[in-house]
Amino acid sequence: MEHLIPALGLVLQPDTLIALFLAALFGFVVGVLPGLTATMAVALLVPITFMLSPLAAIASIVSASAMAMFAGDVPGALLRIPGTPASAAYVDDAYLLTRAGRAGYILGIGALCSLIGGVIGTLVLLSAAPILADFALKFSAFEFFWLAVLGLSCGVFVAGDKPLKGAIALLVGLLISVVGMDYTTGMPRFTFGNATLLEGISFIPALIGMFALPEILRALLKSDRAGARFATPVVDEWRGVFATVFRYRRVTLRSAALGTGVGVLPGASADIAAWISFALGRRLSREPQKWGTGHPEGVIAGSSANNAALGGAWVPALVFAIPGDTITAVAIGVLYLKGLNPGPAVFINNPEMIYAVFIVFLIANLLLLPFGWLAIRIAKLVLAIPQTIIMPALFILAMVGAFAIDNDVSGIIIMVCLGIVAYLMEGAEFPLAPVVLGIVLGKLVEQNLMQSLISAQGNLLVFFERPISAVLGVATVGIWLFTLLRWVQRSLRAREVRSD
Amino acid sequence: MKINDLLFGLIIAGLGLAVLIYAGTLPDVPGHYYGPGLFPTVIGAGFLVCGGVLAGSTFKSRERSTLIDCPDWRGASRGLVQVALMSVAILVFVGFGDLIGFRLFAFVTLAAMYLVAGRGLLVSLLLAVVITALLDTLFVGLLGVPLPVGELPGLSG
Repeated sequence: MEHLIPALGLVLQPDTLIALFLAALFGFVVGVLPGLTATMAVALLVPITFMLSPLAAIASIVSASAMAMFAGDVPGALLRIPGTPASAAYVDDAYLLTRAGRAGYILGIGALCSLIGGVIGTLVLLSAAPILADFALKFSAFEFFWLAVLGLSCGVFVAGDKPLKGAIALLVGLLISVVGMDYTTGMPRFTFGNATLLEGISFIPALIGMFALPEILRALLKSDRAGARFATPVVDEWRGVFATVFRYRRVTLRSAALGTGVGVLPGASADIAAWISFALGRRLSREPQKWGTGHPEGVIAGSSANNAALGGAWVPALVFAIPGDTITAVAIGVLYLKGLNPGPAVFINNPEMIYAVFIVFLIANLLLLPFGWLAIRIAKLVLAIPQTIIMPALFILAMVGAFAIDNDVSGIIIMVCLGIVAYLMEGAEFPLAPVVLGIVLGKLVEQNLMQSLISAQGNLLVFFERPISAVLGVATVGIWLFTLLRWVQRSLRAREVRSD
Repeated sequence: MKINDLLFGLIIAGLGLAVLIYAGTLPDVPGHYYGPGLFPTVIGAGFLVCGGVLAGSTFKSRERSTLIDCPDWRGASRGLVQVALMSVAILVFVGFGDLIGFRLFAFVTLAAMYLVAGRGLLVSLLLAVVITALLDTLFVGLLGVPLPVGELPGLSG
C-alpha cells in the first residue's frame, strides 16, 4: 500500500492521461465498427506506443481494449451486428430492445455493466494476482479441454428451449473451425485443394457474413408497404438503467466474478467468458422465458463478464508473462519493449509501476460511463437515419470489413457463403450464437483434445485423473446427462398429453 | 424463407454422412485411433444423429407445412433489385476489384442502390460520394487498411 501514492503520482502525468483518453476514443471507434476487434485496436496501437513512456503505453492499451470491448455492444444493439465476437452472445436481446425504442436504455446498461465488470476484474487483479496465477498454471491440456467443452455446452444452452437446433448450430460452427490444416499432423482438411483455405476460415468475415448480411437482406426485402422506409422508433435516455442494474445486482456481480475467473485462464478470452456467463445466467435466472425476447438480464450477464475477463487476463500476463488472451499477448510484447519485463520479479523491482497499471485500469473503466453516454448520442443519430439509407452503406462496410482481415477477396467469399447459410438457418429458426461459439472454440477444443490424447496415449481415463480436470469433466458430463434427461422427460410428458 | 424442419433435418443428416465419409479418408496417427479424422468424425456423427432426430420428430408430430416457405416478396420489388445489385457488386469486386479500385466500386454501387431505392439522382450521387469518402478516410486514412486502389487511368488513387 505504500506504493499507492507514488503510483498515483506516476499516473497523474499529462502524457499518461492524454494517452489514456485518446486511446479510449480510438478503442471506441474500432470497437464500434463491425469486424474490428478489441485485439485489433490494441495491435494497431503498438506503433504509437513506441513513442510513449512505459506507463502511457500500458495505459493506452488497457484503455483501448476496455473501450473496444464495450463499443462492440453498440452496433450489436443498433444494427444486430456484433462489433466484437464477445458481444455476439447477447446481441439478439439488445437488438430487440432497440426495436422497442429502448436503445438508450440497453446501451446504458451495457456501459454500466462493462464498468462494474471491469472494475471488479481490476480489483481482483490487484488483490489476488499471485494466487490466481498459481491456480492458472495448474491448467494443462486436459483442463483446457474440459473448459472448452464446457464452453461449447453453454452454446447449446444459449439456445434455450431449442437445444436440438442449438446443437446443430454448434456443430456447424465446429465444422467451420475444422477447415484448414490439422493441428497435429498438418494434414489439410476440407480444403479441397484450395490454398487459401489452408489457414482455415477467418472468423471475422464469418461473423460479418452471419450477422450483417441476413439483416441487410431482410431489411431490403421488407415489403415497401410495410413502411420499411421509416426509421426505428426514438431512443430513450438512461431512464431506468441504474435501477435495472441494481435489480439484477446479483447477476452482475456473479458474471463479473465468473468473467474474471475465465479471463485469468491463459487462452480463455472475453468471448468465452461472455458466453459462459450468458448461459449460466439463463440457467439460474428467475425469468428464463423472457430471455431472447428483449430482456436486459442476458446483456447484463454478458457485458459484465467480458469486461471483467479483460482485467483477469492481465493476471497471468503480469505475474508470469503468460498471456491471458490475445490482447495481453500484444501487451506483453510492449512491456518487454519498454524494459518492464513481466514476471514475478516485476512486483519486487517495480512495484509502483504495477500499482500504477492497476490505477490506470480503474480510470479506463470509469471512462466507460461518459463514453456510454456518447454511444447513446451516436445511437440517436444512427437510428434517425432511414433503413434504406443505412443498408447499402452497411453493405459496403461489411465488404470492407470482410476484405480488410486478409486483404484478400477470400474474406468476401466466406462472408457471402456464410451469409446465405445464416439466412437459411435463421429462417428455419436456428439460433446463430452457437455457430459463432463453435467457430471460436472449435480449434481450442480440438487442439487440447489431441494434445491430451497424445500424452495419454489414447487412454480416455486419464481425462479424469488430474483433480481439476476430474471436477470439470464430471461437471460437463453431468450437465449433458441432466439436459438429456430433461429433454426425454419433456418429450414423454408431451406424448402423455397427446394420448389423453 | 423458411425451410421445413423435416427437410432441414434430412439435409443436416446428409451433411453428416458426407462429413463422416470424408473423415474416413483422413489417415490416423500410426498405431492409434485418433488423428486428423477424429474431430470431423465426431462432428459428422453429431450431424447425423441431430439431423435424424430433427427430421424424425417433425415427421412424428405430423405437422404438415410446406417444404420451403417463401415469404411474399411481391411488394418488395425494389428490394429484390437491390439484392440483385448486391450480388452483381460482390461478383464484380471479387473478379475486378483490383482493377476498378475501392472508391469507384463503392461510389457506383451505392449510387445504384440508392437510385433503385427511390431516392432522386442528385441525392443518390451525393450520398454515394459522402459515404465513400467517409469509409475511405476511416479505413484507409485512419486505420491503414490497404484497400484496392485500382488501375484505371485517371480514376485510381
